[in-house]
Amino acid sequence: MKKLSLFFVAFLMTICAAIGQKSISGIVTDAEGLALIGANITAKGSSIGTITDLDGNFSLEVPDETTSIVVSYTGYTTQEINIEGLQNVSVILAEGQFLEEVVVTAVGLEANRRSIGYSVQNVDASELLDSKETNIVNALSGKVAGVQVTSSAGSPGASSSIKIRGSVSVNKSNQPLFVVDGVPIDNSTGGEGNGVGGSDQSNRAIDINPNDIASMTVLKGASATALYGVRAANGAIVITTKKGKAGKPVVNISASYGISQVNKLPELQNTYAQGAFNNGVAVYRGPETAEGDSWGPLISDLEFDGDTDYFFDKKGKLVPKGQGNGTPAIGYDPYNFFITGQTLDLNASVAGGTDKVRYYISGGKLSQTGIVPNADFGRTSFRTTLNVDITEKLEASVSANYVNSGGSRIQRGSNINGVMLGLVRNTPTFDIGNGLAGQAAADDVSTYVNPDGSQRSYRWGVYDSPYWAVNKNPTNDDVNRIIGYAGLKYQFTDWLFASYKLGVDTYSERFLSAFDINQGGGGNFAGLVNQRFGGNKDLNSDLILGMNKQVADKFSLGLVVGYNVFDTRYTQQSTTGTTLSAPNFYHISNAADITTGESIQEKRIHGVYGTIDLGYNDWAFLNLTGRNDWSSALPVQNNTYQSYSASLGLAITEALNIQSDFLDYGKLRASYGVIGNDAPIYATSNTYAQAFSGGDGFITGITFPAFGGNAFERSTQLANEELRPEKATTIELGAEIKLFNGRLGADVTWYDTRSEDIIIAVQLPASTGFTTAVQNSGVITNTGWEVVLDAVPVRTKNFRWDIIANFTTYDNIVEELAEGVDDIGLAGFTSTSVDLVPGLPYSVIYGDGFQRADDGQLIIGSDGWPIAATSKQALGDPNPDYTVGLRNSLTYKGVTLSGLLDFRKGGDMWCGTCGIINYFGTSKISADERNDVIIFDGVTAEGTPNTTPVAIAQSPSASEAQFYRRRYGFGGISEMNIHDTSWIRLRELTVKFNITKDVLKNLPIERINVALSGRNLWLSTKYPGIDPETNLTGASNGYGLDYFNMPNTKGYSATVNLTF
Amino acid sequence: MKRNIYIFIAMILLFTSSCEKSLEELNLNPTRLTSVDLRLMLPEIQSQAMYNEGNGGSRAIGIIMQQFLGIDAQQIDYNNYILGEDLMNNYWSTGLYSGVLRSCDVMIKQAVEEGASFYEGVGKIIMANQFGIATSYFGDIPFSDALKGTESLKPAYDAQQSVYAGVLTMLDEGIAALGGATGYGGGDIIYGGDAALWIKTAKGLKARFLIHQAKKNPGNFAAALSELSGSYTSSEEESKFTFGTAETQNYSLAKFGIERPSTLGFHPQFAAMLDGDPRAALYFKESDGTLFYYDPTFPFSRNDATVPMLSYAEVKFMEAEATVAGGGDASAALKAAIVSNMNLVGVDPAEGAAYADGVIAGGVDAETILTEAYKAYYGYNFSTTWANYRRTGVPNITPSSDGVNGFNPSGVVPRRFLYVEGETQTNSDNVAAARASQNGGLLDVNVWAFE
Repeated sequence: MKKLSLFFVAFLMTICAAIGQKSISGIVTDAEGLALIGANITAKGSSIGTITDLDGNFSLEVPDETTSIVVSYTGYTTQEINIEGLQNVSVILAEGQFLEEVVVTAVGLEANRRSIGYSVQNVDASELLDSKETNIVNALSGKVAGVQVTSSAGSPGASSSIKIRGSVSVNKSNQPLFVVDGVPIDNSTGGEGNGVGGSDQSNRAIDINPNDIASMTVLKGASATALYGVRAANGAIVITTKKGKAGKPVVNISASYGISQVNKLPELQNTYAQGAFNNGVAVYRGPETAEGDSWGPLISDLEFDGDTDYFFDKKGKLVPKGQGNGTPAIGYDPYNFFITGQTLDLNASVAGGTDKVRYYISGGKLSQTGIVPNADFGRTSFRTTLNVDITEKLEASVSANYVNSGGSRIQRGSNINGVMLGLVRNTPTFDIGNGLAGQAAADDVSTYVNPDGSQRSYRWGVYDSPYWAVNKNPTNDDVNRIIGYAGLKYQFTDWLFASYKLGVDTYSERFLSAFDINQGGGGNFAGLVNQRFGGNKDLNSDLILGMNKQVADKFSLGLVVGYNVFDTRYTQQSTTGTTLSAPNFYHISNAADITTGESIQEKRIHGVYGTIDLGYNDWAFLNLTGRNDWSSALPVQNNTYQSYSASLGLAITEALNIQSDFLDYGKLRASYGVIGNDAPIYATSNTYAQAFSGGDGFITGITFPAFGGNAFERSTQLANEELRPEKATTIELGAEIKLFNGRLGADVTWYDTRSEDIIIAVQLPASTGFTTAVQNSGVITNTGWEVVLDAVPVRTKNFRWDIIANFTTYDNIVEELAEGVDDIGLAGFTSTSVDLVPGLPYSVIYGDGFQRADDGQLIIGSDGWPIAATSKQALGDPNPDYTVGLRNSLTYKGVTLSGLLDFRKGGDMWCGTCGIINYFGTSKISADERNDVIIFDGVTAEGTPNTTPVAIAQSPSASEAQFYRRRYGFGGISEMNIHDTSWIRLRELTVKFNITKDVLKNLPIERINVALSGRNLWLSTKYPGIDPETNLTGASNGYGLDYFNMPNTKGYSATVNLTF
Repeated sequence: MKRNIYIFIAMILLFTSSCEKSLEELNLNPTRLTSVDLRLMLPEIQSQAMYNEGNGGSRAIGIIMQQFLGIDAQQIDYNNYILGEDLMNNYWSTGLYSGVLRSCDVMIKQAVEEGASFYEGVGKIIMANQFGIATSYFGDIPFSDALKGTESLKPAYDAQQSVYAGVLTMLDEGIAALGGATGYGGGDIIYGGDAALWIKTAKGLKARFLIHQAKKNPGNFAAALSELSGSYTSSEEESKFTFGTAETQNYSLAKFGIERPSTLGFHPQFAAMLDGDPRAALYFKESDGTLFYYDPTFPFSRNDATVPMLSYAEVKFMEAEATVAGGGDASAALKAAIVSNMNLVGVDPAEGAAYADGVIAGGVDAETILTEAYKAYYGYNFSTTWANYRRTGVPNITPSSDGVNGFNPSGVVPRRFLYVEGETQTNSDNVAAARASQNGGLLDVNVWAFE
């Protein structure tokens, strides 16, 4: 470590030794004389450069020998200006050369956007930063056509998933590959992932510090990613980090402070007390009964008795009015549990270099607390990137990124220890804070522990009090990660090079999850401590030989061949200790019984690839790619597979030589690509695992070793030695146009993907002795449209209005599953789940429904009630009909106001939370409808309209079991809780002030940026639960379940950024 | 310059050649075995079989039979016969077919190959018992076509009548294999390798499944008596399994009380029946007007509960019922049955004997015997309680007044479980055929044996 520091100091010293410079300054304007702000100026033949300020002015120190500068600006023709003998230049850039934008294509290659025959979309680094999201995945929300981001929850560090163009895999991840500076990195969801219970985990892309990102390119289809082969079968997010440029050190310091608050919660009732309704009478049944219902009498009919020994309420026990001390009963608000979360993000970087050595060094520290007491997340990162010209022809690049991340998590979901479960089931007559609220209540042990040591909660410990949960169920993680690479590039001639890059992504992770002893009252639990240690190592090696040559007058030729090795190994040791001895001590030594286990996941892929780029006259571009992979996950006789693509780009304005006043640029694209994909690991042989006895969804099973010995059992997955690679074929067509001097632009893409031979762990009838079989069996198709529109309605010297909109829609259909298989479960419960069903969209919500007549009307029984169907059915489609992201930016001089609206039409979600709180009688609707009598709209078995009225809930003759919300079972039947999630939200609102040198004058500061941001400030949706941008099972392939998910947040933040 | 290139090439070769394992080797899970000794299979078979005694199906039966009362969540649904396709799904899948039956099948085949007839015999006895219980739950089930993996990916359903016949044959095969038992090498948690006691168990189980069919074939009582004469002669011989105190080794009913506290109660009807019974204090407790089945000291909710696969009490109850059916005097058998159960539960022997004498003094008929069996089979053997009720109508329980629903249109005390959704989704044609041949197969339709 010490040696390393010396090395860096030595580098820094060399940086300051630049000599022999001259100065050049000037102004850059467009043809109308309007200043171009942020135009790039570089000294030709070096990487020394700067950008123009608000008035279009620039000033640059260049080496003495520099003879010209290059001036470029997006949407304008790049110019080279001779500066020999000049100190001041005036540059007028002509518009018209559109799409000069550089995009990073596969395996770290760069291309000019105009030469590409498939759809890619760049995201500005500032757009990512302005969103003020901790997780880089969330920062992409609403910004890229074809990309769908779903955050699992608003908890600090919670995972978010990202899908590009729907889903194609069943058992493997549908998320894209994340590539940082050409090195693929791991984005798995920590530890054991999100189950239906447990706590929210992070997806590992959260370790990327957004402040280090220079640019991001989203590669969407097969043609874009075929060079990566199997690993980018779902697209790729290609990130380029900041690098140093030759010149004096540029120091950047930024500080951001933000707050967050819960943005939406299910509405609860505050009218009826805890209790039960039996034989026509509502009876108060208090916490001491350990009963869970809020079907009791009106709160206004109860009063306190003043008993000071009664530890469930300081005012005493509740009794009918007239029998107590006259103090009326109180309906408490459990939502005062939520607090204001805070985020502090500090970043510093220095970048610069000489003509031989360029450096970028950064450090960042983010500390975040949640909207739930005691929840937090932190990330500390350091990054150093060096580029060294060892000789004129040999360049070395080295980068190292150290990240420490982790935090305190919150138990959630289907989990009697979960926060939301205990909170929204809580009865209105029980004050969970015991007179306190928020963090103060969480810090006072008397809030959640009774004097006798039992748990203080409305059911006396049956479900955990939220305050007990955040104190007594500690769940935390700590990840130490290093992502780095070392690369060499040798330039044989100006058109031929060879390069090699070895990338490594390695991390260790530690998880602790504990549940304290909860005995006495309704609790019977003796405590548990689980600790897990995981280690991941991904190695990626790329050897590339490339050329780029103007081969004839009008023909250009690019050629790349490469060899790639990817090797990954993840191991995790897990130790569980049960029956704790001392309370409040969450260490394995406190457990009476200990079991332990280890999992190991290994995989290696070799790949050989090549690409040919042919250009004609700078308006026709043909790109051909091919890759052959060998994967360890496939049977050895079938382990090789191919990915290939062809794409064509035609700039029609140039090709047809169109000179038009309004049509600046037009381009057509067409591409065809095939990507192969391998199998889940270890699916080719039947094995015996350490035994487990289970088969009961309500309780845990028996884990061996047990009863004084060990045991093994054959796995229930039927292996397959005949697996073949999967194959996905994509056809994509697109067009781009620019109109009215760049004022209006459109990029439209249509695609059609067909995935065949999909490797699925198909559910078997368990009566075969196996529960699943790995088979090549499915066909999944996806057809969609993506549109990006941009407009500049107003552009004057001082004012500019920009609009950018993206539109996404697709039909992602499961055409076939295995023969005779009607259904494959992706996530959820036995009662309600997210499944694949042939002929229906990729994932449907599946569960119990009502019986319906052929015309779709409800069938109503002679008693007036709808009748539950006996078999489960598809009930909802979680996919949106379409989504739109709409950004408006207004810039006046140095001030920018920008807002991002996010529209989502359609998409269903199962609000399991709603069903349960309706069942227990804590929801607002359960109180509002309590005395209603209705006639269900439907037909009788004979087909005549139903006319029989029924009491929804209490009536003199009813028992609780006959209530509408209870008669179909716990939580109601699934169909009652399927809701549309359509929304409009103001995802981002930002005001930025840019203060430049001309204002700062003599201060030693180049630039100050101040930004005030709001996130998720406004949400309009009819969904009755929490913010419907949520997912119970996190970054899994199953979407559309909400069962005591942690709520989402809105936030405000202020950021100051100083550049020296 | 050249040197740089050499270093460059050397570095690449160094990495790409340093992969020690072949691609094929990499795909073998290093945490798994590829073959296993018989002695390492049997413990899991026994633990899964006994875990099933207190699992979700057993708890639902306890509620149907009004020994338990649901007081929260899904358990309240069971009170009202909302017993859907998801109820038994986990049991069917990883408790039964891809659980204990799968493991028995693997063990039996390997035992036959290795000539280790002890494991073959024990495997067949446990497998037969699990099949017999399952057919009493569902009627027609996959049997002759089951557990065949790729050879039969859509197992056909056998009629219940042939499943019972197959179960009895399998028990005979088990007895035969154990006759000259060889190859025991450990792993028998229940009997420590005693083949003779396994044979006695098998004979008792034959009687159990003969009596299941006694309504169809009254001659089965005599056949059962003959089998019972070769079964247990004392409580010491019964097939008992003791769970562990560690949380990962607890009996399922203990786990339910810990992990789902205060959701399952004890039925007031059953409590009333136990008025004056010395077992009452060991079966339930009262708190604030609610009766709870769970207490860490109770015999069947303690962590390390001792649970019989076949109890001596059951052997004697069966003997008593069969004796009465043949017109004989069952007093001695009934007393032995009651006393043995008292012994299992932990009641003072003298108190137990006095209670038994009191029962016998009131006269011994089939109803008395079955009512006492109902009180004795609590905390274990729920399947027999339900089978006895459906076969004889004893005890006479009143159906839930809220028990009419789509699964149970006529509102009777349920007569079977529905086929599970895992089967309806993956083996739909065979499930449809089985439903069709059993009059739709809803909760209110009898299985063949209890028609």
